[in-house]
Amino acid sequence: RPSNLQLDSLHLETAMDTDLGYADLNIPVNQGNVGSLKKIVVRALELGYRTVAINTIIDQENLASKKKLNQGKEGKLSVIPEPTTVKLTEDDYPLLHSKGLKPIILTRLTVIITDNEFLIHYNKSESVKNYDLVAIVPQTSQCLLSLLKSGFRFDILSFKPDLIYDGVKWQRKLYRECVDKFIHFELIYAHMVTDRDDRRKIISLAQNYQTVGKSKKIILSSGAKSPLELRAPNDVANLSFILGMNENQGKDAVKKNCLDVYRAALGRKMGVFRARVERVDMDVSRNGSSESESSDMEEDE
Amino acid sequence: MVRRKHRYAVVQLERTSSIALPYLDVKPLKASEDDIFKAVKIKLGELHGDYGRAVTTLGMRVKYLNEATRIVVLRARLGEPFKMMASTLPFVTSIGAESIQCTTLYIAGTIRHSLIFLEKRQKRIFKQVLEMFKSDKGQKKYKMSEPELKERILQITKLEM
Repeated sequence: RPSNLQLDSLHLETAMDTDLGYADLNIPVNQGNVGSLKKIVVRALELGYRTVAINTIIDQENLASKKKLNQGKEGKLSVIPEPTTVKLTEDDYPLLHSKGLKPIILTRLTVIITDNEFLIHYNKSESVKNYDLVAIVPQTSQCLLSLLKSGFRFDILSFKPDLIYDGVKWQRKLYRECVDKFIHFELIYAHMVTDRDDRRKIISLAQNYQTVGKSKKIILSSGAKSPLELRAPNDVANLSFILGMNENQGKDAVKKNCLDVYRAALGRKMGVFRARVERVDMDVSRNGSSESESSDMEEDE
Repeated sequence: MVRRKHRYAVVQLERTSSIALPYLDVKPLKASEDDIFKAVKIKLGELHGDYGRAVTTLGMRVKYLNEATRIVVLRARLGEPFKMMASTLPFVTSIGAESIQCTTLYIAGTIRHSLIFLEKRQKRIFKQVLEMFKSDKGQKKYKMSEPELKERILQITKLEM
């Protein structure tokens, strides 16, 4: 298979070396109100986060082919939309600016799926390549299994609060399969503050992850639709006690695991590389005249 | 006698109505130490039940409260009681009649360290506020005029003492 190099090696080194600091990887976009998005981002930067990912959510039911659109089913998309961006000036992030750092804004796409047919639209569209992260919300364990078998690669596995009790039944084998494919599990805390039923569901899901997978590779993110639902990174790490994690796992969930997600996404976009291993013939005299061939040893992360 | 160890959490309370606004919130909080204690106790009962509430309120106390800068220092016993209290602080949304939001600034092992942190922080913020006043941008960020704000600052420092 030919390798699709979108980043040359210099770009890749600088991209892999960036330190994301505290990261919040889920700030959803309201289709109607784009002005409020900037307020949420500014508030997050004020609280101590350095990285923010802006999330566009798509439902598979809303993706329809052009034929069906012409037949009269209105209100549905035929194309996956372009990522939204936010412009920030130096006045918006005084805390970071005083340290001489710039905020990092990523883009993310979340797809709520019921079966594998969304891949038809996904592979056709060109705007998908502009997103940094890709997340999936599976409705049943069957569709998750079929997606894992198909060879499609994604970064984050998320959830919707209504689907927790009827949705995926987690087992150790399924969890371990996802971990082997560099997929991280996301827990959203904005619903916990407002609604008591959602609070119980999210806590039970988190405890489930702990029994089934020892809470490996979990990230915590806000999913905040208004600036009042955001919390400081230290507070979010303290939520680990309720969600069945250690203190160290809680701190990792805000900082280190988000960096892992970013790097895995970079590796996914780069594609598959090949490394060639050859046997070197060494002379007994050891005069430094050994023939060795070095190939570009960059691995798919 | 074995020493009883505690953890002190330095918490800032921000009003939800002033989060989205670009200027500083200078109104003092109308709450006493009892109000804050009650608000945290009730949330503990909701989240961790009877066991959580009993275990944490044993060694819990409000050690320092400054209504003007809206800063609270809460104490709890080391270990599980403190973890329970720290995990309920993000859920506290109202104290008395006002709706507020909590952010933990610092976790210290002794009162002395928490107050040292506070002193450094207040000095830094005071410098920033004065600098903002010197430049022209400061004029737009405050609702009060300069002499009014100076009087206000004097009032606030008298409260502390």
